[in-house]
Amino acid sequence: MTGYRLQAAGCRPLWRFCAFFLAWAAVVTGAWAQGARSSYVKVAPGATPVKAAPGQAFEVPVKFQIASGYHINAEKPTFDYLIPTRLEWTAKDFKLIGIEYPKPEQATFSFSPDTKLAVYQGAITIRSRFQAPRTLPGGKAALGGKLHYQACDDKMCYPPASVAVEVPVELGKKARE
Amino acid sequence: MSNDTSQFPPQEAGAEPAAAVEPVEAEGPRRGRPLLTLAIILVAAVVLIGLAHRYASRQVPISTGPAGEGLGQPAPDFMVKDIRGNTFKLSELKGKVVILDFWATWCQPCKIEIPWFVDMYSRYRSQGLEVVGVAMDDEGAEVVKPFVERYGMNYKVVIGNEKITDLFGGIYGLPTTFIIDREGKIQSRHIGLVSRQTLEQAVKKLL
Repeated sequence: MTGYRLQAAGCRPLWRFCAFFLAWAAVVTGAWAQGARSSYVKVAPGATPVKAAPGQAFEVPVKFQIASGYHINAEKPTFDYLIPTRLEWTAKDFKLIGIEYPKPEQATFSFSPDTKLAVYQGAITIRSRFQAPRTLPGGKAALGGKLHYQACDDKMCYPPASVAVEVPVELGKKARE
Repeated sequence: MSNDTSQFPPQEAGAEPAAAVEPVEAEGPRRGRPLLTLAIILVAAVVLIGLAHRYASRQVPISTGPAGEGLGQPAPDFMVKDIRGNTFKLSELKGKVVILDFWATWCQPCKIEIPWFVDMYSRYRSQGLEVVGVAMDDEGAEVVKPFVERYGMNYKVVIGNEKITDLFGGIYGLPTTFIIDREGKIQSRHIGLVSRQTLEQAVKKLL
């Protein structure tokens, strides 16, 4: 009995290793599975809620991260047959005034060594301007949208895709704003 | 803010494993149970990782050049409409060497290869070469037909769909080109933009 107790106690590090291994396996498996879903563009995390005054215009900057080694076409691509990057909002309570896309990079690739293409790479911020409603139930809302894009790397292109965007909005009191 | 990529189910917080519980009767066969369970869990984890890796490899091909999987096997047959509305069946080209090119009008690397295929078709058609472009544009012939005319594509262009790409093991990036021999077997597969020389050599050795 004592001997077994010792053996069981000796197993504890093994169990801990096992638990650690399983957790690691889950993380690795999850990362691969996520990568497999072809998300070449992600919304950069860490955004704070946007504050808006009733009836006033306000700006919504959204930062996107394009995966390393990939690029997406600019809002106005170099050629008309290329698919432009486009942010589409579905906000009902807020009136969209306009969208300002960043200035694209002019880059060459192995498939286009002589012609520079207008593309986005790395981190980009797209700024949208909205008009807030005069009233809003609860004072809180969310702006929903999608960024439509088509990504390529240096040798191949991937099907058109989109990434969902959601921005919380806090509508302040008119007197306070 | 959030993006549309669903999260992998989070791992449950690990409770203290069963091995920490003191056994009541320790002698005999029960002694081996913790180790057996441990072994089963480890094997399951390895299998899980293996499957995930295989799935990820299928979804996002990262290498270019000839790929080995499915080579020497008969090319899957399919029937679709070409850009003029005529029915096309791949198996009708048996006896010819076929370049089967998956492409799209929005694919800039594909556009580099198109003049090569135009030229190769002109030069080797009399020796039995056929080129088939499978356009993966969602808008179909409406956008493909003007592009074909604009770039002087002298070979057959059909409108592709996911059913066809699934038949070929899934095509996740463009261009992807298959070279099929006279017996209808896939002899090489080229993922992404490769050199004209690579493609032409693959064709010439089958003519």
